[in-house]
Amino acid sequence: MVVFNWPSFWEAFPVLAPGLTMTIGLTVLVMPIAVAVGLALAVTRLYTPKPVARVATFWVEVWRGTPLLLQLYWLYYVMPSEFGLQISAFTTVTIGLVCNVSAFLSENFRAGISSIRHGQRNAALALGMSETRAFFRVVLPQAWSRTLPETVNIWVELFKETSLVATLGVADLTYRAMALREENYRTLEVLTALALYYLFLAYPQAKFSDWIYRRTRTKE
Amino acid sequence: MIDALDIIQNNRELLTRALLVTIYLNCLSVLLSLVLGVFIGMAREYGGHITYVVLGAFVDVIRSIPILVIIIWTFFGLPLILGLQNFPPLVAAVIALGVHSGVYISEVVRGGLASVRQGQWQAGIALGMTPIMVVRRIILPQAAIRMLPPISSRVIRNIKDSALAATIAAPELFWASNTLEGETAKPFPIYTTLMIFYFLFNLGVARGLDQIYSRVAIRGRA
Amino acid sequence: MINDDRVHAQGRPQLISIENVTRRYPNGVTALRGVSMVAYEGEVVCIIGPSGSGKSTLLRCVNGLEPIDSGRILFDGRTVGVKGRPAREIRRHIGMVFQSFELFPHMSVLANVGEGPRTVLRLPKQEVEQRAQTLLERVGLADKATSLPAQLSGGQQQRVAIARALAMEPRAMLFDEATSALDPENIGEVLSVMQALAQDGMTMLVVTHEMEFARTVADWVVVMDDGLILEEGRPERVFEDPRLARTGEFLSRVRKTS
Repeated sequence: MVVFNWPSFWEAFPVLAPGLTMTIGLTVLVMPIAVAVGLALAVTRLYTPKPVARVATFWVEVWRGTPLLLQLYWLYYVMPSEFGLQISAFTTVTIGLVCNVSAFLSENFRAGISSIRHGQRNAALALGMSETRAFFRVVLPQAWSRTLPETVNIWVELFKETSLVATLGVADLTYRAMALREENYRTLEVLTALALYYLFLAYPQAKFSDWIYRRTRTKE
Repeated sequence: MIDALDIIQNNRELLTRALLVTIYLNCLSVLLSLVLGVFIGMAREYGGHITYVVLGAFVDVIRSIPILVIIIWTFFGLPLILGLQNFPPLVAAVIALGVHSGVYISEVVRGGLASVRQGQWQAGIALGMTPIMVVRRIILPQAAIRMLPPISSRVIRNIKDSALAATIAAPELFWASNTLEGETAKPFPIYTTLMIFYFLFNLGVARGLDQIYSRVAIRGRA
Repeated sequence: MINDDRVHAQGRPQLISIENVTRRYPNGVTALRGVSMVAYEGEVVCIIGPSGSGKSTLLRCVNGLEPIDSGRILFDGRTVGVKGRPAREIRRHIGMVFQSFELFPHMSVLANVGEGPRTVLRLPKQEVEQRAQTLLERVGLADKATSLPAQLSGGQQQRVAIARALAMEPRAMLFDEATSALDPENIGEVLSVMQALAQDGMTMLVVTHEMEFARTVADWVVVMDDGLILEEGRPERVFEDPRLARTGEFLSRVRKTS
């Protein structure tokens, strides 16, 4: 059996705590922006002329099909070197997370809206509604309940994925854990404390997500 | 982009090895995740209440922790618990990715098994089969076909997560790219090329799995 | 104890004996409230009655698919159970056809029919294929041997299901509303197969809503309602001269819709 140094375990929690602000802060900052961008992308893919839609689809597929870590690194290095922008690591990862998460959200919205479009849209138009009104009053409200479970899922994933910003020096939970470990060499205790932080925060969110899944399933 | 071709040319050996490591890493972790996923999924579906709850807790815990943290914990923490001196980063990455993906796959398996109609059970039992025969010959084959799409997206996710193995210095492609960036100070061609590689690789894998699914889909219809 | 009306069964052994069976579901619903009846070898017994009367439940208890709470069911003198080898042994001799066909979607038609002989009876491959092919011919679907169930119509699927059950060479066949899920134009082809089976001397327990079939093919009719047997007798007697008012009401309701 290995020796688990309980004092350093308990001490780790307050040391990691400031990282919590960053972790939660990033999540709360990124999600609304990503939802807006994702919705815009979905609408573009569904309602604009083919060439424009194709570009949007390609953009989405790139951000969905490549690793997040690589995306963050790419932005971090490429922004200053190719675009001449000197921006902080924090801004970079925020942009990166928005691009990544909005792509997944747009796919979710696109699928949800698509699954409703035809029959309902026809019914609305037959009643004399305009396209726009049909969209906002008939299609979108229904698409909302279909896309909600997956949206909550994406939120929980975002919360966990903020851990990647640690590799670029942004001081979230994971970063602080690695820093603390380097100070006191209490690897097992610090990393377990880190895992527990995420567990206590993400577990209820994941359960909430499951609950939403079940509720919308029985509704239909 | 000429830079990119130059860099690749000059570092062929490093990159080829890194590519092999990446493929190796993904094949092993996906295999592990499938084995684990089927085992846990079946145990939870057929194993009685206690098994369901205990394994369920394990699944929930793993799902709540970021994959990066799992990788780091497995590499730094697990050897301490097991009393080992060294842990090759590749082994740690395979275990971490395998367990992480495996847990998600177990949920897919569980859902797949449960999605097979009661009537199929009854038809098998009515022929005089034992429960094991029914699962083996009737339930599992059907469920497996239906599980293909969600499992294939998990595989894609696994491939993307494998890049995180670089943080524990597993010599896969992302790690190799970081090394090259350090040497040449040319991040743009290097990382852009890697993005293109992952994009095409994932596209290929996704298409391949879709093809397989479209061939067998008719055999899995409810 | 042979009923006066049941002359056709004289001298024949009792194949299925249901003795005072009750079945209560976990949710509190009592599906069978003390049902007793017999079926003789070679007899075609049709069980009719309103939905929810317990007909399908009774059928599923006969081959041990569902447990009973009291009473017993005998098949060829042996007690029907739910678990274990003896229970499985008995099921080999009883074939069942389901309302939803329940063909195995991942196997070809031929493989479906051969699945019982192959996996349960462990017969050699040659014999399995031969048996399956012969049976497919018997139900008129020899040309569909390599098709998948999803490629067949409902009536065709049900005929394959009958062939699958027959492949086990059962001594009795249970039909659980075999035509209820079929489009009207497909019902006839399945009833023809069932009638041919009856003429070949198969012992059959048929839960059905098809009154014409019951009237013309059945040797014996059992009327159920609310978990009990209301009455039983020869089809001509039950349909023309029902003993109970409730039977009469049910029959007139059915006549109005058919």
